Amino acid sequence: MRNVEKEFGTVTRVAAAAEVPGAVADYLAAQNLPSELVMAPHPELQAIPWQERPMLSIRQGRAEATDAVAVQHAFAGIAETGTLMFPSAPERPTTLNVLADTAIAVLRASRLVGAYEDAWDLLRTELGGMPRNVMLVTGPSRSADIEQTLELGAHGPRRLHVVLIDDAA
Amino acid sequence: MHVPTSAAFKQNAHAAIDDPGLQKALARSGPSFIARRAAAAAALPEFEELRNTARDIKNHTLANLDFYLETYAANVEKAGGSVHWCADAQAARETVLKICQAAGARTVTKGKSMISEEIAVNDHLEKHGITPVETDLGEYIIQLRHELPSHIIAPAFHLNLEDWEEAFRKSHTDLPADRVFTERRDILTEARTKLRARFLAADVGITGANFLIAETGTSVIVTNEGNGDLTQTLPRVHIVLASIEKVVPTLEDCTSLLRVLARSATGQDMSVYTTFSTGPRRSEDLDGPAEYHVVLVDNGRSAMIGTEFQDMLRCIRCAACMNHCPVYGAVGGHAYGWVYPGPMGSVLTPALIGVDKAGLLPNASTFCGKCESVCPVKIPLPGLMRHWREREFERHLTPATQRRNLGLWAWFARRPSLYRVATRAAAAVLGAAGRKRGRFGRMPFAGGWTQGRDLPAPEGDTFFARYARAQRDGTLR
Repeated sequence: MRNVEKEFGTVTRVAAAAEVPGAVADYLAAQNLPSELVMAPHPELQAIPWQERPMLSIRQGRAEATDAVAVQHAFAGIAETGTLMFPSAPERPTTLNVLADTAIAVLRASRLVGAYEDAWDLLRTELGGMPRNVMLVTGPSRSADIEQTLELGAHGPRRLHVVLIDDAA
Repeated sequence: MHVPTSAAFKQNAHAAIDDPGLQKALARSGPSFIARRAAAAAALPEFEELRNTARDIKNHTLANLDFYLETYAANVEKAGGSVHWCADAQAARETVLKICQAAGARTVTKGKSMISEEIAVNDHLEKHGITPVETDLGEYIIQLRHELPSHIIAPAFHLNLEDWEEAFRKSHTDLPADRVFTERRDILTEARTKLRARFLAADVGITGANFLIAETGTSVIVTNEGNGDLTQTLPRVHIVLASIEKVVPTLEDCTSLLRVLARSATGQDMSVYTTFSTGPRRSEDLDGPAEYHVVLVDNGRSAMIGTEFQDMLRCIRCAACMNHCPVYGAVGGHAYGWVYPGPMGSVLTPALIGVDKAGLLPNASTFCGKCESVCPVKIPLPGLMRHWREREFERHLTPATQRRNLGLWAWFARRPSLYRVATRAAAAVLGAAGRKRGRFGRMPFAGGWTQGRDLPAPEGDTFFARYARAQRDGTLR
């Protein structure tokens, strides 16, 4: 997770899934961002008690151009380079990875692996084959095309925030 | 269409050296690439071993290229995609146009792709009433300025902030003319807003491919901006343009190559978005393209298989060779006259457009060897340039004076005693003539050299003479 921060992402650790809504609300407030979210219709995200934070307004589905904040389910985290793996599925639409200004990924610590190859093993065992789209995301969008000087927030998200649920034994 | 000007490399290079804007850009950006790659390589103890692995994966694939291409194509079709085999640039342009026309496309967004520059697909689409929009920030300004990229991963390497501002003011005439650009972020924000609308309106998205994976029928793109993902996710049709040597056997092989790609290119451990695409949208998916086409382009590659230039097909387009090249650093990318600059371009361009048109490029090298020493797939670039020089000489493409002088030198060199006497005499004369200053500012028949620098005067005797004397005196160590 140190590698996420090296790549200009941010991380909050929570002890249980029930603490995710609070962590998301605090992050949005701290960044002065709207509390309207589009969320992946993933069972693990749906099981989170979002109703305890009634200020968060949540729509489920794919991201549209007007969405400012997206909450995505991370299939795995790869320690090697602080990378998140998002295989596409009906419950994990690809647009949530790139279209919104702020991307929030919910990752369980038990889904952290060391190397890319370990993540491919998980994908082969659990999903059986290659999904339509698999994105490996390492930090927020950026460009160095202007005078070879790094600027964050090119076409994809300006911010990438990981909420890490500490469920590892 | 950009007609190659590689044959005018000498004139191009002179113009580049006299261009203060270009020289400012080169001085700013050159050293940082070198430092970042060095830091990334040093941070990974097994980096050198990974370069061997990367080379071996590519060699194995090229030795079995037909098998892996057929496996790849079969798996693309199994996933619901279509594969279009194109022998040359013309066939590839036509194929892309037909797919766009069948989709009723008016605008097409594009991710950054060098093969699309190589086959000049934008001009072809425009000629038929379809508007291509480059979405990579560097490619976007290159398109606004009607230029070729000057670098394979940093297309706008040659530009300064004032060039961006000028191009944006000239092209975005719908925005207030009195708006102020104070920093890079203002440029980025304006481009983001402009291109966001384009992404949402496009009918077709065209991307390149960094790799094709045979095992799964997958195409892979690597970006930092996220433009490639918006290009391939939002429109109804996704076209992948890829040359045949991009194929690798498995996901794991691709992973090994990714480990050396970003580190060699920008010095990042991993690019921000590495995306694996396999076929069109699945039945329950909420997003993704309805059609997925792969346009597989040969355009001269298969003719390189089995020749001494096969090694060049290992290239993964990281640009480390040009970032470390003293010639590229002095003249920039446009002087090379076509799509691929730097050492990799000096080897690849003659293979693709002919050594008769690009023969000067393999001569534009100091043979310092830096390119080969940083290449992530260990392509012997100086050796391959030497092969081109030999072919050029065999085909009598080198200038008559150069051939005559080389012939004269060879005549002397084959007569060692005469050669020694002649060089000794020349060294003595030059040494005596230049004793006062130790160098010459001007020299008959060597104006090309002395115009830009001094010629040092020989000090003392020739190597042969000193060696012989040392042998006689017994002082040879």
